[in-house]
Amino acid sequence: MQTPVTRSFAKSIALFERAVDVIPGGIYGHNSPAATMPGCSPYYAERASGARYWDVDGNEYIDLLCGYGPIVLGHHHPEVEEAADRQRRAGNTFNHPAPVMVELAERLVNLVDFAAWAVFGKNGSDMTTWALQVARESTGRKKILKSAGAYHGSHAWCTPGHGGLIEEDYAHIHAFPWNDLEAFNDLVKRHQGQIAGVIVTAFHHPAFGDSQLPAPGFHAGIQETCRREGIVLILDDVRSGFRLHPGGSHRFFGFEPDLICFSKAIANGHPLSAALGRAELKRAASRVFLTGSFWNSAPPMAAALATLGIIERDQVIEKMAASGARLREGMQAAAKRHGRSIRYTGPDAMPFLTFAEETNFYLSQAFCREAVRLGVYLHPHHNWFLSAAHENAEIEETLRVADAAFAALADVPRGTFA
Amino acid sequence: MSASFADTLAHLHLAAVLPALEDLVRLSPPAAELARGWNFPLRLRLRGGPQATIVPRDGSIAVTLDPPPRGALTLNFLSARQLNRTFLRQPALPPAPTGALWHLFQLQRFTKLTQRLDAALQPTREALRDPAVMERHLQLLFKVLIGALPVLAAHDPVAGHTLASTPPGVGAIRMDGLGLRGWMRWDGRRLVAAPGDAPSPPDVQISFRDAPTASAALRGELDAMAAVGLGQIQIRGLIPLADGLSVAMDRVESYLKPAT
Repeated sequence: MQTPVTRSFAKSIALFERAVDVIPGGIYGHNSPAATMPGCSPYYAERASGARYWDVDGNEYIDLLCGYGPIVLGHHHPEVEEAADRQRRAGNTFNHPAPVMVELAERLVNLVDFAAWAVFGKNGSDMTTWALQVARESTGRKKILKSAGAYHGSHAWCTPGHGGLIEEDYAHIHAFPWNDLEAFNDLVKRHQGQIAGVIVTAFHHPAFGDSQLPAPGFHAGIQETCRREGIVLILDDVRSGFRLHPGGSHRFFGFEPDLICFSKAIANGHPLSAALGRAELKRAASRVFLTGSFWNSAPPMAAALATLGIIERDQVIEKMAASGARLREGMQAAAKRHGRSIRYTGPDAMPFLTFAEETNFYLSQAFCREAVRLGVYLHPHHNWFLSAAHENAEIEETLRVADAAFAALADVPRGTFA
Repeated sequence: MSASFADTLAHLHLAAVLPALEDLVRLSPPAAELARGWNFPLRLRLRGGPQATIVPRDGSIAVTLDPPPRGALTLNFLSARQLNRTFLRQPALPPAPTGALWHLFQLQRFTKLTQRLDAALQPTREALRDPAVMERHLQLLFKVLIGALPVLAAHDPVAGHTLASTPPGVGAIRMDGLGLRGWMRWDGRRLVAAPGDAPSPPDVQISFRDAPTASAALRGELDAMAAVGLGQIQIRGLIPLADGLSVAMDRVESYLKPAT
């Protein structure tokens, strides 16, 4: 593992300079440098293995972002890659789905307790938006409730972006504060009889904000109201799916939705999403048009089958929880050693660190910038992810780097970016 | 409730464009000459709506949104449409004067000043080849932008919707290549903005590396995301606040189109 005094991102920048000529923004979306630490972190990756990756300048990192979640077993897991390759050798995108689609649907329906059927797409947004439509088809109603600040994808009804939107895109989308059951019920009352669905995440994980676990009774209260009012309860498990419970994060938090959306970790980095639902919603689901050129591509489905099998066989979720607990204890101890009060939020497999003395992320940016410089990729504004590949060695190295990063904050005056 | 497009534009003309006269007289000797010895308050008022007053100050003029002092000549616009068309030099009924009518003969100076402001805010491409014209143009654009932000936050539906989910805080903008600084404070309901250094440590700092970048940004010609990635714009701190403010800034173009 290299420990340079400084890291060069010359090749990243050179690539980016080419990119801006032919790609709007250079890099768009959540990967945009504007959302992280421009000029102080890599822009392009070249290869990865296990818990590590290398950028185009040859800098090596312990990956605490895992591709923003998809890498749950570690980069390039040999069994997953072999399963995908085997399918790819047989064929990729046909005129028809491959048998693996049926196998995967059966596997997922067996895994998720309330589910009777499954559909597939490519991204989380595909499924969350489709789930809203199923709710509207099933109920004949228009309105959707979501928690304020929650991220459900990039489509117009929920995008955190601003361009190209019209008021009609979100006219029937209403938000309530996370963990505020009273506000939720007030909102339901205000729009009584008009609400098709409620979409919630398993825990609250806004960008630029601390993660918040559900308060006791929060999800159960939403579920109860939804059942009473005939509202479809949708769990957006895109981010947390297969990191808290193999059968869906609702099992971890003790409630039961009507629809659940998966993506990210489902296939260890291969592009795939899925939505599952109750038997009662199958007919409505069959009436909502659902398709995409690559949605039935077979290799990611084969990868997903392999991934789900490994998650169960190797007790991956328990592993990540244990690694995550060690990371949390070490981070908290390191912060204390350096006189820093931190907020370490979210489940241990998906933690997020902020500094209690600030709300503007100056220290977070300085901390993560230093961690990147020392070889651990941490994000200052987005929750982190562990994978099964983050074993003791990676956790210890991460903590050593974190200790140095906390120490470096002593040189950062408040309110600046050093 | 969001105002109509015309109402918002009227607010912008009075609260953002007209105050740029202060900078114009500072930057343009002919404009300074027109303003020299200005000796009466001239109020522009939209019936049931906003107002702005040009007042004498230190041998020149200033523009205030406060109620006018005594002795003002008031030009009354009956509708936002009438006011906007007047500002845009489109055919419109002249405003009805009230108050200190004996100052009516001085309106010629006001007309000439606003003509110069127009030319400085919307110069021709040929004129912009002169660096002095470009610099004055950018300084005025910046002043208009700062003045426009509170109006858009209050009245533009797109800016309002975005800011509703923008965290509160203080933002500071620096365009060192042009010697321009400004700040804005969003408290969750109201946006305040002014030129100069922020009155308290900012939660987000937006810095433009050089004059060409600042110029492109002010003239709506910049791919901002690309510029951030290239280091031409630096954003430190509360990025969502910068994001919300930038949406509001982008909305200026929907109302006050730059010269093409």
